[in-house]
Amino acid sequence: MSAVAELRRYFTETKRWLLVPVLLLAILPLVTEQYFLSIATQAIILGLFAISVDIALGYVGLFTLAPAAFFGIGAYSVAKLVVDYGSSYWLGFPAAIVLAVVIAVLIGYGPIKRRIGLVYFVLFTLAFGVLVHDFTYATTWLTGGSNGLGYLTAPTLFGIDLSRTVPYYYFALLAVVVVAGLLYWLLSSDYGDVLHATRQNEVRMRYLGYDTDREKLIAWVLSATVSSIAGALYVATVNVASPSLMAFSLTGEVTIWVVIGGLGTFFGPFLAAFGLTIFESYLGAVLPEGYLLILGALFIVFVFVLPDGLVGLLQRWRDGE
Amino acid sequence: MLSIEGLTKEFGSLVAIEDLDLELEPGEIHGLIGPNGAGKTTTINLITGDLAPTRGTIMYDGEDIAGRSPTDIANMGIGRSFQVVQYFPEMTVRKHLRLASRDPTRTVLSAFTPRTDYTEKIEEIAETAHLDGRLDTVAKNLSHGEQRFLDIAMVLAMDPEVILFDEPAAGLNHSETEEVRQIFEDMRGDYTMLVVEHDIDLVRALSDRISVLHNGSILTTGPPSEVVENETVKEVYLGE
Repeated sequence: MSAVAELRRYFTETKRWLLVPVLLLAILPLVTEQYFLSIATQAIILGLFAISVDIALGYVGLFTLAPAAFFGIGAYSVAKLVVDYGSSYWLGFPAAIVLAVVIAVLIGYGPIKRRIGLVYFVLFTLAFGVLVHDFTYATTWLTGGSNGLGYLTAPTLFGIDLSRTVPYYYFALLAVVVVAGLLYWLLSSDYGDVLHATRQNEVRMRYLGYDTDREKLIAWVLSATVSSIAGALYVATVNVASPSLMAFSLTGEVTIWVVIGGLGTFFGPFLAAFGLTIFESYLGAVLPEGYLLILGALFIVFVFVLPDGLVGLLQRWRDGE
Repeated sequence: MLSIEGLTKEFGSLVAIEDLDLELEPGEIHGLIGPNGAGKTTTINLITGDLAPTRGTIMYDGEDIAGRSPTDIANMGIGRSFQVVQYFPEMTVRKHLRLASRDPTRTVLSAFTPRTDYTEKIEEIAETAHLDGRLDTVAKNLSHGEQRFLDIAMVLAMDPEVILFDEPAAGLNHSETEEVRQIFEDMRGDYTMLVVEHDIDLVRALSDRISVLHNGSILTTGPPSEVVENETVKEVYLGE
């Protein structure tokens, strides 16, 4: 076996290659400046957000236009408890999880059980997303309206001030690695295949004895919950929970990241979200309006030329095609 | 084993199945033939829960399963194949058979328990269904004939008691049809099977008994030699 082929095999067939990006991210604070690190923190969290959307869209085929709503629910859960109730920052996370689970079940149960079909599901989740976004404007007493809820920073943990850039970067990295690791383990089990198969042929799955409505509902709730966790982690990087965290533009952006990364590929959406968030911050300095244009162009290219995304491209490289 | 009485399915004013009685004996291969539109696929769809009957009972293991969901019926031990072959295009044959082998009622929490090893079972089924050597092939890259075998293999992996086959040889060439016949011969006695098929030679060769469906009702039931000699059957179906 040639050295190149051996290298390919080592990095693609074993899971050891996963240590490489984690280690690179771990040493990032040593080689970069504070500003970049704060962007990188957001990029890592948005990577988790993209994974959460991939569970619904890529794995089980639920095309949701509500991810930003759940991201915002997570952000507001933390901000509300800290800013309005003076409560512990850490309580925000269980609150974000419980709220996301409850709302996801309430919103998802009917449409999934009734099998309303792809188009109606898209429209239903769009309506929900818009409703939640407008709700934040309309309920100033609850959400702070257009001003949002602020100002908040992450607290001190074991004597480490998480409100500083480097400690929060490590905290976010650890949280994302733990949550993404658990998800990866879960989706690498038979359960991941159950979701993939449900997307590919739901009818066949039913006749194999699978309750596909139940599997889709679980995947939907899981996706919403992880989106909410990502939102809860994100809010301390911007210090304010504002309606922009629930905006449809964020849903559009994360959907494009998932497509560019590769639907149902887990790592692809993370990679795309991380890379494009960093790219956006650099581009912002030289061509502020250019990001969305480039994102749109990339989306078109990937849909038509590389529908299996970045991961599909890497797989072809691995297979030597 | 499976006993159907007075089964009727109406779609508005159209009566697709009318007062149908059918009994499957344990371990038999039961052919179900009839002209296009006679109600063969509708019968399978009623048994497997795809359609709810207007009237009638479908007794299985002492229970009336009429109107239950496809998921419930599959879990009770009734499997089916499809006229238009149904599979998961991006998955390997091995993954198909693993999904069909595992307990489908175990969902996300199954990830927290040790992974069951189905290797031996999967290899055995692949051999029975003439798919050995294709276990790591992605389903969309199989030939049409192999996709048919995969459909059969998936049903076998479910460990069902009763299997309903909806035209298992549709679209197959002569040698592939012969392979289907061999696969059924290997399965004979292990399962109770209802086979809807247009290839009359195949049905005759395989079936212990044949029922002829005409206008939604059973015209006659009996051993193949008797049924094909029946004058009414010749007239309405065999076109003689």
